[in-house]
Amino acid sequence: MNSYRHNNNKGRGILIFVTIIVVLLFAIDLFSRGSIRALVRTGATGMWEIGRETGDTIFGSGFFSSRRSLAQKNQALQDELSQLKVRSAAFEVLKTENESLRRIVSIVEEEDGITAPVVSSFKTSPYGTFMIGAGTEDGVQKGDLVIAGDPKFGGFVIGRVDDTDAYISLVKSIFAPGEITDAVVRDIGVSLEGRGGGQARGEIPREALVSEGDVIVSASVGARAIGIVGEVGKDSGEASQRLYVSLPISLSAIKFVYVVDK
Amino acid sequence: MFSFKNVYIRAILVFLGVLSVIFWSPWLVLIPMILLALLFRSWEVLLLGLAMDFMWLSGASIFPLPLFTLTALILVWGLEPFRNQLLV
Repeated sequence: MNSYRHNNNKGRGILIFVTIIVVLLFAIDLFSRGSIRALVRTGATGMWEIGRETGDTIFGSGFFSSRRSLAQKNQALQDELSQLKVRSAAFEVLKTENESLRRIVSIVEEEDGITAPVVSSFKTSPYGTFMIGAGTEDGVQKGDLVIAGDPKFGGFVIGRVDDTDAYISLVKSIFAPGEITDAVVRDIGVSLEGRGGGQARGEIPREALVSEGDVIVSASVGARAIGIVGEVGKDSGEASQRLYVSLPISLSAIKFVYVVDK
Repeated sequence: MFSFKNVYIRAILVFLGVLSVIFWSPWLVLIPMILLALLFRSWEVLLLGLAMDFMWLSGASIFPLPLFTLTALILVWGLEPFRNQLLV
Protein backbone atom coordinates (compact mmCIF):
# COMPACT_ATOMS: atom_id res chain seq x y z
CA MET A 1 0.00 0.00 0.00
CA ASN A 2 2.82 2.36 0.95
CA SER A 3 4.68 1.36 -2.21
CA TYR A 4 1.57 2.10 -4.27
CA ARG A 5 1.15 5.50 -2.64
CA HIS A 6 4.82 6.23 -3.30
CA ASN A 7 4.44 5.36 -7.03
CA ASN A 8 1.15 7.23 -7.22
CA ASN A 9 2.71 10.39 -5.80
CA LYS A 10 5.76 9.98 -8.03
CA GLY A 11 3.58 9.66 -11.16
CA ARG A 12 1.56 12.68 -10.16
CA GLY A 13 4.75 14.63 -9.45
CA ILE A 14 6.12 13.85 -12.94
CA LEU A 15 2.81 14.94 -14.45
CA ILE A 16 2.91 18.26 -12.58
CA PHE A 17 6.56 18.75 -13.59
CA VAL A 18 5.85 18.12 -17.31
CA THR A 19 2.79 20.37 -17.18
CA ILE A 20 4.98 23.19 -15.85
CA ILE A 21 7.58 22.45 -18.57
CA VAL A 22 4.86 22.60 -21.26
CA VAL A 23 3.61 25.96 -19.98
CA LEU A 24 7.20 27.25 -19.80
CA LEU A 25 7.96 26.06 -23.34
CA PHE A 26 4.86 27.83 -24.56
CA ALA A 27 5.86 31.04 -22.77
CA ILE A 28 9.46 30.90 -24.05
CA ASP A 29 8.20 30.29 -27.58
CA LEU A 30 5.82 33.22 -27.22
CA PHE A 31 8.51 35.64 -26.09
CA SER A 32 11.17 34.38 -28.50
CA ARG A 33 8.81 34.77 -31.48
CA GLY A 34 8.53 31.10 -32.27
CA SER A 35 12.10 29.87 -31.80
CA ILE A 36 10.95 26.55 -30.34
CA ARG A 37 8.37 26.08 -33.09
CA ALA A 38 11.16 26.55 -35.63
CA LEU A 39 13.19 23.77 -34.01
CA VAL A 40 10.19 21.41 -33.86
CA ARG A 41 9.32 22.10 -37.50
CA THR A 42 12.89 21.59 -38.67
CA GLY A 43 13.04 18.22 -36.91
CA ALA A 44 9.63 17.18 -38.13
CA THR A 45 10.25 18.09 -41.77
CA GLY A 46 13.49 16.09 -41.59
CA MET A 47 11.53 13.10 -40.32
CA TRP A 48 8.87 13.65 -43.00
CA GLU A 49 11.53 13.63 -45.74
CA ILE A 50 13.09 10.44 -44.34
CA GLY A 51 9.64 8.84 -44.05
CA ARG A 52 8.74 9.75 -47.61
CA GLU A 53 12.04 8.48 -49.00
CA THR A 54 11.73 5.27 -46.98
CA GLY A 55 8.20 4.78 -48.27
CA ASP A 56 9.33 5.37 -51.85
CA THR A 57 12.18 2.90 -51.41
CA ILE A 58 10.00 0.19 -49.88
CA PHE A 59 7.18 0.55 -52.39
CA GLY A 60 9.58 1.04 -55.28
CA SER A 61 11.56 -2.10 -54.46
CA GLY A 62 9.08 -4.42 -56.14
CA PHE A 63 8.10 -6.16 -52.92
CA PHE A 64 4.54 -4.98 -53.36
CA SER A 65 4.84 -5.08 -57.15
CA SER A 66 1.29 -6.00 -58.20
CA ARG A 67 -0.37 -3.63 -55.77
CA ARG A 68 2.33 -1.08 -56.40
CA SER A 69 1.90 -1.17 -60.18
CA LEU A 70 -1.84 -0.68 -59.83
CA ALA A 71 -1.32 2.17 -57.41
CA GLN A 72 1.23 3.74 -59.80
CA LYS A 73 -1.15 3.49 -62.73
CA ASN A 74 -3.91 4.95 -60.61
CA GLN A 75 -1.66 7.76 -59.45
CA ALA A 76 -0.43 8.46 -62.98
CA LEU A 77 -4.01 8.65 -64.24
CA GLN A 78 -4.99 10.91 -61.35
CA ASP A 79 -2.02 13.17 -62.05
CA GLU A 80 -2.90 13.27 -65.74
CA LEU A 81 -6.50 14.07 -64.90
CA SER A 82 -5.39 16.82 -62.52
CA GLN A 83 -3.13 18.30 -65.19
CA LEU A 84 -5.91 18.19 -67.76
CA LYS A 85 -8.25 19.87 -65.31
CA VAL A 86 -5.67 22.56 -64.65
CA ARG A 87 -5.23 23.13 -68.39
CA SER A 88 -8.96 23.13 -68.97
CA ALA A 89 -9.44 25.62 -66.15
CA ALA A 90 -6.59 27.74 -67.48
CA PHE A 91 -8.21 27.90 -70.91
CA GLU A 92 -11.50 28.74 -69.27
CA VAL A 93 -9.72 31.61 -67.58
CA LEU A 94 -8.38 32.71 -70.96
CA LYS A 95 -11.83 32.63 -72.48
CA THR A 96 -13.91 34.21 -69.74
CA GLU A 97 -11.50 36.51 -67.97
CA ASN A 98 -9.56 37.75 -70.94
CA GLU A 99 -8.86 41.21 -69.68
CA SER A 100 -8.04 40.25 -66.14
CA LEU A 101 -5.89 37.35 -67.35
CA ARG A 102 -3.80 39.68 -69.45
CA ARG A 103 -3.26 41.68 -66.32
CA ILE A 104 -2.52 38.54 -64.27
CA VAL A 105 -0.04 37.22 -66.83
CA SER A 106 1.74 40.52 -67.02
CA ILE A 107 1.87 40.68 -63.22
CA VAL A 108 3.22 37.13 -63.00
CA GLU A 109 5.80 37.77 -65.72
CA GLU A 110 6.95 40.92 -64.04
CA GLU A 111 7.03 39.79 -60.43
CA ASP A 112 9.75 37.74 -58.85
CA GLY A 113 8.95 34.49 -57.19
CA ILE A 114 10.68 31.37 -56.04
CA THR A 115 9.94 27.68 -56.37
CA ALA A 116 9.77 25.83 -53.07
CA PRO A 117 9.32 22.16 -52.24
CA VAL A 118 6.38 21.03 -50.12
CA VAL A 119 7.94 19.46 -47.01
CA SER A 120 4.93 18.19 -45.13
CA SER A 121 1.69 16.38 -45.60
CA PHE A 122 -1.36 18.40 -46.62
CA LYS A 123 -3.75 16.32 -44.55
CA THR A 124 -2.02 16.21 -41.16
CA SER A 125 -2.66 19.73 -39.93
CA PRO A 126 -5.91 20.34 -38.03
CA TYR A 127 -5.52 24.05 -38.80
CA GLY A 128 -5.38 23.80 -42.60
CA THR A 129 -1.66 24.52 -42.79
CA PHE A 130 1.29 22.90 -44.52
CA MET A 131 5.01 23.56 -44.75
CA ILE A 132 7.27 24.58 -47.60
CA GLY A 133 11.04 24.35 -47.74
CA ALA A 134 11.78 28.05 -48.12
CA GLY A 135 11.98 30.77 -45.52
CA THR A 136 13.24 34.22 -44.73
CA GLU A 137 16.70 33.30 -46.00
CA ASP A 138 15.11 32.76 -49.43
CA GLY A 139 13.19 36.02 -49.28
CA VAL A 140 9.85 34.53 -48.23
CA GLN A 141 7.76 36.87 -46.09
CA LYS A 142 4.57 36.55 -44.13
CA GLY A 143 1.60 37.12 -46.42
CA ASP A 144 3.29 35.91 -49.63
CA LEU A 145 1.06 33.95 -51.96
CA VAL A 146 1.65 30.27 -52.63
CA ILE A 147 0.67 29.11 -56.11
CA ALA A 148 0.28 25.57 -57.46
CA GLY A 149 0.44 24.80 -61.15
CA ASP A 150 2.25 26.79 -63.77
CA PRO A 151 2.11 30.48 -62.79
CA LYS A 152 2.55 31.46 -66.44
CA PHE A 153 -0.93 30.10 -67.08
CA GLY A 154 -2.31 31.75 -63.97
CA GLY A 155 -1.87 28.81 -61.61
CA PHE A 156 -4.06 28.49 -58.57
CA VAL A 157 -3.40 30.23 -55.30
CA ILE A 158 -3.56 27.51 -52.66
CA GLY A 159 -2.43 29.47 -49.64
CA ARG A 160 -0.71 32.34 -47.97
CA VAL A 161 2.53 32.26 -45.96
CA ASP A 162 1.48 32.57 -42.34
CA ASP A 163 4.69 32.01 -40.43
CA THR A 164 8.31 32.07 -41.52
CA ASP A 165 11.45 30.54 -40.12
CA ALA A 166 14.89 30.74 -41.71
CA TYR A 167 14.42 27.83 -44.11
CA ILE A 168 10.85 26.64 -43.53
CA SER A 169 7.56 28.48 -43.84
CA LEU A 170 4.12 27.55 -42.64
CA VAL A 171 1.42 28.16 -45.23
CA LYS A 172 -2.26 28.54 -44.40
CA SER A 173 -4.51 27.14 -47.09
CA ILE A 174 -6.96 29.48 -48.77
CA PHE A 175 -9.59 26.83 -48.08
CA ALA A 176 -8.53 26.05 -44.50
CA PRO A 177 -11.49 25.00 -42.32
CA GLY A 178 -13.58 28.05 -41.41
CA GLU A 179 -11.52 30.46 -43.52
CA ILE A 180 -13.71 32.99 -45.34
CA THR A 181 -12.60 34.24 -48.77
CA ASP A 182 -14.45 36.75 -50.92
CA ALA A 183 -14.37 35.63 -54.54
CA VAL A 184 -15.99 36.11 -57.92
CA VAL A 185 -17.39 33.56 -60.32
CA ARG A 186 -18.79 34.76 -63.64
CA ASP A 187 -19.00 38.30 -62.26
CA ILE A 188 -21.04 37.11 -59.29
CA GLY A 189 -19.63 37.82 -55.86
CA VAL A 190 -19.52 34.90 -53.48
CA SER A 191 -18.25 34.45 -49.96
CA LEU A 192 -16.53 31.07 -49.71
CA GLU A 193 -16.10 29.17 -46.48
CA GLY A 194 -13.15 26.80 -46.46
CA ARG A 195 -13.83 23.15 -45.66
CA GLY A 196 -10.24 21.89 -45.68
CA GLY A 197 -8.66 19.51 -48.19
CA GLY A 198 -8.73 22.15 -50.94
CA GLN A 199 -12.51 22.50 -50.82
CA ALA A 200 -14.88 25.34 -49.99
CA ARG A 201 -18.57 26.11 -50.00
CA GLY A 202 -20.58 29.24 -50.76
CA GLU A 203 -23.98 30.48 -51.75
CA ILE A 204 -24.99 32.43 -54.83
CA PRO A 205 -28.38 33.75 -55.98
CA ARG A 206 -30.71 31.11 -57.37
CA GLU A 207 -30.97 32.74 -60.77
CA ALA A 208 -27.19 32.96 -61.25
CA LEU A 209 -25.90 30.93 -64.16
CA VAL A 210 -22.88 29.05 -62.94
CA SER A 211 -21.74 25.68 -64.15
CA GLU A 212 -19.20 23.06 -63.16
CA GLY A 213 -15.66 23.94 -64.13
CA ASP A 214 -16.13 27.72 -63.92
CA VAL A 215 -13.08 29.41 -62.50
CA ILE A 216 -13.27 31.21 -59.16
CA VAL A 217 -11.12 34.32 -58.86
CA SER A 218 -10.42 36.36 -55.75
CA ALA A 219 -9.36 39.99 -55.54
CA SER A 220 -7.79 39.31 -52.14
CA VAL A 221 -5.05 37.33 -53.86
CA GLY A 222 -4.44 39.76 -56.73
CA ALA A 223 -7.32 38.61 -58.96
CA ARG A 224 -5.82 35.18 -59.31
CA ALA A 225 -7.69 31.91 -59.61
CA ILE A 226 -8.29 30.04 -56.35
CA GLY A 227 -10.42 27.12 -57.50
CA ILE A 228 -13.09 25.85 -59.83
CA VAL A 229 -16.77 25.09 -59.35
CA GLY A 230 -17.04 21.40 -58.53
CA GLU A 231 -20.79 21.19 -58.11
CA VAL A 232 -23.82 23.44 -57.95
CA GLY A 233 -26.56 22.36 -55.58
CA LYS A 234 -30.08 23.70 -55.90
CA ASP A 235 -32.91 22.85 -53.53
CA SER A 236 -36.49 23.70 -54.42
CA GLY A 237 -37.85 26.49 -52.25
CA GLU A 238 -34.51 28.03 -51.45
CA ALA A 239 -33.59 31.51 -52.63
CA SER A 240 -29.99 30.57 -53.20
CA GLN A 241 -27.97 27.75 -54.65
CA ARG A 242 -24.99 26.14 -53.03
CA LEU A 243 -21.65 26.29 -54.69
CA TYR A 244 -19.10 23.57 -53.99
CA VAL A 245 -15.62 24.71 -54.90
CA SER A 246 -12.51 22.61 -55.19
CA LEU A 247 -9.00 22.82 -56.48
CA PRO A 248 -8.48 21.16 -59.85
CA ILE A 249 -5.20 19.79 -58.54
CA SER A 250 -4.85 16.82 -56.24
CA LEU A 251 -3.13 18.24 -53.16
CA SER A 252 -1.17 15.05 -52.57
CA ALA A 253 0.28 15.35 -56.08
CA ILE A 254 1.78 18.76 -55.40
CA LYS A 255 5.52 18.47 -54.82
CA PHE A 256 6.56 22.04 -55.57
CA VAL A 257 4.85 25.40 -55.26
CA TYR A 258 5.60 28.89 -56.47
CA VAL A 259 5.86 31.66 -53.89
CA VAL A 260 5.24 35.24 -55.01
CA ASP A 261 5.05 38.57 -53.19
CA LYS A 262 1.72 39.46 -51.65
CA MET B 1 1.91 -1.41 -11.15
CA PHE B 2 5.08 -1.82 -13.25
CA SER B 3 5.02 -4.44 -15.99
CA PHE B 4 6.89 -4.79 -19.27
CA LYS B 5 3.58 -5.27 -21.04
CA ASN B 6 2.45 -1.84 -19.89
CA VAL B 7 5.75 -0.29 -20.94
CA TYR B 8 5.41 -1.83 -24.42
CA ILE B 9 1.83 -0.65 -24.81
CA ARG B 10 2.73 2.83 -23.65
CA ALA B 11 5.78 3.00 -25.97
CA ILE B 12 3.76 1.80 -28.96
CA LEU B 13 1.02 4.35 -28.30
CA VAL B 14 3.58 7.15 -28.00
CA PHE B 15 5.27 5.98 -31.22
CA LEU B 16 1.92 5.95 -33.04
CA GLY B 17 1.19 9.40 -31.64
CA VAL B 18 4.49 10.80 -32.95
CA LEU B 19 3.89 9.26 -36.39
CA SER B 20 0.38 10.71 -36.43
CA VAL B 21 1.65 14.20 -35.59
CA ILE B 22 3.96 14.17 -38.61
CA PHE B 23 2.35 11.91 -41.20
CA TRP B 24 -1.31 11.15 -40.58
CA SER B 25 -4.65 12.76 -39.98
CA PRO B 26 -5.07 14.96 -36.85
CA TRP B 27 -7.91 12.75 -35.66
CA LEU B 28 -5.51 9.81 -35.50
CA VAL B 29 -3.35 11.78 -33.03
CA LEU B 30 -6.28 11.97 -30.66
CA ILE B 31 -6.65 8.17 -30.46
CA PRO B 32 -3.23 7.48 -28.88
CA MET B 33 -3.61 10.61 -26.76
CA ILE B 34 -6.94 9.44 -25.35
CA LEU B 35 -5.75 5.85 -24.85
CA LEU B 36 -2.56 7.00 -23.13
CA ALA B 37 -4.51 9.36 -20.88
CA LEU B 38 -7.00 6.63 -19.99
CA LEU B 39 -4.54 3.82 -19.36
CA PHE B 40 -1.59 5.62 -17.81
CA ARG B 41 -0.67 8.75 -15.94
CA SER B 42 1.03 9.76 -19.16
CA TRP B 43 3.03 12.96 -19.44
CA GLU B 44 3.71 12.08 -23.10
CA VAL B 45 0.16 13.19 -23.92
CA LEU B 46 1.13 16.76 -23.05
CA LEU B 47 4.17 16.64 -25.32
CA LEU B 48 2.15 15.18 -28.20
CA GLY B 49 -0.39 18.00 -27.90
CA LEU B 50 2.34 20.61 -27.69
CA ALA B 51 4.20 19.14 -30.69
CA MET B 52 0.99 19.19 -32.73
CA ASP B 53 0.43 22.89 -32.04
CA PHE B 54 4.07 23.89 -32.44
CA MET B 55 4.18 22.16 -35.80
CA TRP B 56 0.92 23.18 -37.38
CA LEU B 57 -0.32 26.29 -35.63
CA SER B 58 0.86 29.53 -37.10
CA GLY B 59 2.14 32.46 -35.10
CA ALA B 60 3.69 32.54 -31.69
CA SER B 61 0.69 33.91 -29.83
CA ILE B 62 -2.18 32.80 -27.64
CA PHE B 63 -4.60 33.17 -30.54
CA PRO B 64 -5.54 31.11 -32.43
CA LEU B 65 -5.98 28.83 -29.47
CA PRO B 66 -3.60 25.87 -29.23
CA LEU B 67 -6.40 23.32 -29.30
CA PHE B 68 -4.28 20.18 -29.03
CA THR B 69 -2.29 21.45 -26.04
CA LEU B 70 -5.52 22.40 -24.30
CA THR B 71 -7.03 19.02 -25.19
CA ALA B 72 -3.95 17.31 -23.78
CA LEU B 73 -4.23 19.28 -20.52
CA ILE B 74 -7.91 18.39 -20.24
CA LEU B 75 -7.19 14.73 -20.96
CA VAL B 76 -4.34 14.50 -18.49
CA TRP B 77 -5.86 16.46 -15.62
CA GLY B 78 -9.55 16.03 -16.37
CA LEU B 79 -9.23 12.26 -16.40
CA GLU B 80 -7.14 12.18 -13.23
CA PRO B 81 -10.01 11.24 -10.87
CA PHE B 82 -11.25 8.58 -13.27
CA ARG B 83 -7.74 7.24 -13.78
CA ASN B 84 -7.23 7.11 -10.02
CA GLN B 85 -10.20 4.76 -9.84
CA LEU B 86 -8.78 2.60 -12.65
CA LEU B 87 -5.23 2.53 -11.32
CA VAL B 88 -6.32 1.60 -7.80
